[in-house]
Amino acid sequence: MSAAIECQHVSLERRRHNRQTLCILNDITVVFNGSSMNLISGPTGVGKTSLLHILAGLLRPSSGQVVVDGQPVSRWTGIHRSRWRRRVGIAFQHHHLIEDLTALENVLVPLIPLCLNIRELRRLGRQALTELDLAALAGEKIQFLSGGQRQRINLARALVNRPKYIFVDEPTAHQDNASAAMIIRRLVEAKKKMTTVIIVAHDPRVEASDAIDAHFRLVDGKLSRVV
Amino acid sequence: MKNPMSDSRLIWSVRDVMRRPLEWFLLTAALTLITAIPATALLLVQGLTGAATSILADSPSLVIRKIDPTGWEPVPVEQSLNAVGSVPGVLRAYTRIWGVVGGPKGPLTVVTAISTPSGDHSATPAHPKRGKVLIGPGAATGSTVSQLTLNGQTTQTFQIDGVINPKSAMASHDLVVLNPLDARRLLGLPDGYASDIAIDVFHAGEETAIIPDLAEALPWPVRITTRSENLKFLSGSYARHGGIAIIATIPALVAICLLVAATIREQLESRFEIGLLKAFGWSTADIVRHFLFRALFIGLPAVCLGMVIAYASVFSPGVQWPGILLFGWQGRAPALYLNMGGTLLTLLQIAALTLLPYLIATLVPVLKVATADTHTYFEGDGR
Repeated sequence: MSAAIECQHVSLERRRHNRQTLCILNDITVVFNGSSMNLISGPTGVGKTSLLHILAGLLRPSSGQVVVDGQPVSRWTGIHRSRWRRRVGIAFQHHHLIEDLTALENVLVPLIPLCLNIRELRRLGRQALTELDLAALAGEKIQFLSGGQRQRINLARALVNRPKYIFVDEPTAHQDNASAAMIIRRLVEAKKKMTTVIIVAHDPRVEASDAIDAHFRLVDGKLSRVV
Repeated sequence: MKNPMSDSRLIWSVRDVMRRPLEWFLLTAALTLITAIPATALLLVQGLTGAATSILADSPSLVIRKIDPTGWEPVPVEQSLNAVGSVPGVLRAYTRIWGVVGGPKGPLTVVTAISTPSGDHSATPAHPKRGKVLIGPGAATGSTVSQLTLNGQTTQTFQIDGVINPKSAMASHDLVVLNPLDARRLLGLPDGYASDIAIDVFHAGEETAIIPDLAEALPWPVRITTRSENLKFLSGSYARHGGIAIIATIPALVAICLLVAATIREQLESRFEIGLLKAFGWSTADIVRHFLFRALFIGLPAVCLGMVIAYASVFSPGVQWPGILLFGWQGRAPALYLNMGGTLLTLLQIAALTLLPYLIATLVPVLKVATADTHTYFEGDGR
């Protein structure tokens, strides 16, 4: 079972061009239980992605910390932060796939530093694609794929190394109902394997899903639990 | 032990290079040429310098020629040897018969014996029989031609008895070895006369010390040249060759500067991809290793290929263009032979000149980008 992720007084400030400080996240204290499915929703531009990036170790909070298993992972530096990132899987809102690589090669990116045998690497990559009904696209270059296909490859990349923590940003955007249901099903399967899942979305299909264990809403920099 | 070819990181780096095959090909070609051009010039100078120094080490300490207002004059053998033999410091004195005559493809040097670098006894032939000649590789006009016509004071046709060992080509390239009697006739030397007097002394320091005594001992005006003067002349020649090599290297240096600038820009532009790799757990060491593998995959084969081209251009028999281009040699160039120490040094210089700047240009910006905080790569990605 994965340990809970705890945000302790996490704040994020950004300096604007006119040198004024903008408070994006304001003293957020919350616990995401281990092996649970969590949803963070809220209006556009409120800071949901920033919070997700803080949790995934891509962004440092201005103050406060993220604690996992008693360790302040958001305060870790250098090589320790890359160790934390290897334990998590992240699916970006804007996909961030490498255009001139194939779908399979994009999915393999998190596995490369693990020094696995190339056959094992390919097997894991193909498996991740198959689980999202993308096996037929393994050899296709990203630049020739649709937005929905890209989004699923983005998710496959987040899941490929069997992470204990998964952070997904708008996973059902560009997806039809069947694909959205498949994505949610896949995240539920991950949760059943003792993974903590945190989804950022304002898609009603996700909000309505009964797979969500905890629903949080981010408004004006404050996070509050809805369900 | 783990097979490096199954290392996923290495394979990934190679695949990354192959993402842009045209760019990879052009970069390899550019690095190959940038390596090959200065390496050819430097290896040629190095090869030439080594060969010439080796030949000079076996030459006489002093050479005396009789002069008059019209130029060189033959020296009377007996009178000359008696005169110089009495000069203190002279270890050995002997006369030589040689001269320059016209050959089928240009001037050739006619001798009656060959002085070759130490230890290369295989290249020193006995005098040919009358009417026969041994020729240097540069004097050969074709493998099927068996006769050689020479134009001196008289015109004579000789039977070619053999070609001097090509390994001594730097010393014997344009030589024709004749029987002394044939040589005298061809050069117009009367009996009892020679072209010059060669003198050996015990110590190099005595070369210049005995010049006044030698000049005084001989009853006619002479021109005396020492081995050290010849060395100085060659040093000047090497300096000119070195200058030519540097001039040949300038465009290559400009090209490497452009390549370094382009590589730095490319690496800085790849900051998004580096950020992406970091987001998926790649450490700074992983990223630096990845870009190092990439750079070596491009740079090492290119530099090796450039060096092989340079080596083949300079040391392969029959390749003429570097000598014609850099030194204006006419006809077939003499074959040069590898001097291990000097060549290794030259190759290391070239590697430092091309591979090192390329590696630095690859890794320094990567290091700068890879150590930056990850969020800077994803600015503008929602909020």
